[in-house]
Amino acid sequence: MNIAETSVRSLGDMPVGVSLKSQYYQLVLENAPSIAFFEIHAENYMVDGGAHHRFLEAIAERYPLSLHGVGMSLGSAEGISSEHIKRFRDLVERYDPALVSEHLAWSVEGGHYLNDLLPFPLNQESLDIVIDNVNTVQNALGRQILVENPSSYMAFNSSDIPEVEFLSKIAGATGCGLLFDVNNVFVSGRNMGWSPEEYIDSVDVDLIGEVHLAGHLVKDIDGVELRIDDHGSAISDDVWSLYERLIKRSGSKATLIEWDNNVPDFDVLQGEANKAYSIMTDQDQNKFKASA
Amino acid sequence: MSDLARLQRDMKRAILGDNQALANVDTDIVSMGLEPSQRMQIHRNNYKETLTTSLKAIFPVVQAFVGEAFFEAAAKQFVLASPPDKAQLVEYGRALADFYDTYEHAVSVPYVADLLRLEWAVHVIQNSDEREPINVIEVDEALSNMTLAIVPQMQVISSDHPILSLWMVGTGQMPPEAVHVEQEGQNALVIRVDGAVQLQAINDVQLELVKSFHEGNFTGVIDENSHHDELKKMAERGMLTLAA
Repeated sequence: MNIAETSVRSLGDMPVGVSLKSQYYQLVLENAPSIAFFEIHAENYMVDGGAHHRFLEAIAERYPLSLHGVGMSLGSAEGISSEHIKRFRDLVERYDPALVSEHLAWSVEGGHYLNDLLPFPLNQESLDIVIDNVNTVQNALGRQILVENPSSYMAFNSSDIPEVEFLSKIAGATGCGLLFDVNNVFVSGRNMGWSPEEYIDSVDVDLIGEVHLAGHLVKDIDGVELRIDDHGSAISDDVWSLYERLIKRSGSKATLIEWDNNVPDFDVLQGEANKAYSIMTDQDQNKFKASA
Repeated sequence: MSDLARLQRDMKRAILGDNQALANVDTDIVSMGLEPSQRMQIHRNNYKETLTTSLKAIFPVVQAFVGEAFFEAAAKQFVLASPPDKAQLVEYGRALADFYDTYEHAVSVPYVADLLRLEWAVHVIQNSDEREPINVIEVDEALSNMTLAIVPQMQVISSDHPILSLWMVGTGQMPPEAVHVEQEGQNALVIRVDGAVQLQAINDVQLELVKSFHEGNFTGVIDENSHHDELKKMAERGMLTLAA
């Protein structure tokens, strides 16, 4: 099967996008903001008709889309729901998104959907299962998907493959790319006690098809600090620093500002997008000076 | 059963409130400062909170009726008893009305279950497929060709309670004192017209005709002469189309 490469060339030289929420529909259509692409959650559009599709069709005529799944459950031991894949494929065919992605997580067991991105042990057994599931999805869609690194709140005794290596093995076996979520790296590193910097420095940047940036919440649970990936606030300085570190290694990458809860005025997202754009521009200029 | 399948089965059961399953996964999870059960609690809370939030967004009118605290308490019981079977949460909540039918704390408000059914219908019709309705003058030909059908952008709800009046109270269109819950039942038509969902009264004959269409009983639709006039009235309301 010929798996089409995820194309980011159509997103322009500085491809920074933002989450598309229904609150922004009218503004996007009337003001045509300077944004390279919009990200939608696939499951929110798995309906037959209504206003959401009418707005999205109008927006998709003007902007490329990133179709981001949250319910495929790539880590499910029971495999992927054929009904869900069909609905996902219908959206891919309807909107022809520039980017398609899913999470390294599970959410389905016994046909029940748990509405969470749940963790699982990273070992040979789970690697084989995820590879099978990614192959199933890519074959059904007829194109490459990007698999996102998780945000973690727990580790398992039976894990014996480091996360970066696990993701690289999936990509090597399936031809998928990586959706590299810098906030998730920071949240997981802090929660699990490993170095986010080492993670950034060890990832194969050529596999990265899209980068995510988002805010997170800091909670205190019985005196233990826990970072929660809630996509409900501005990106933290720590995460911006990690992003600079990544872009310095990788060069420009399609980058999404995610903001799913406590959704702010669009200007706030535009400001975050401009910041990511500046980091990529500065990095490109530095590279140009270095090569001159 | 693979180790992963066993772990996922136990984690699901733990998230849905099974404390024995929670104990089973304890040995799988690394502690690191927090007990495994505390780490699992993050996912237990997330499950309950996010699905309750989703239901609150789908049923704002019922929530206004029963109060936020009552609605949340019922929703949290419901999500543990009836987890979603699809990832698209827009389809999660249909069974909440059936849950209220037997919910012990809702015995004194028996009309709430039908209000939930009505609000669910509003939600479904907001996102339904849409077909162009036919004009009244096209009804006779469609009848003779047996191509008459109902539009997908409508549903009907029949209730032993005055659900349309209660809906108007819940949405602030009618003062509470104007409605008595003991009033006779009402039938409701939920239909999307020009992009906006409308609620209208519908008589028993039209209600039965809609049921006949749903059951594919076209003979039942055209059997009686009296149906002919009602079908024309239904066409005037935008309820009829041609079969695909």
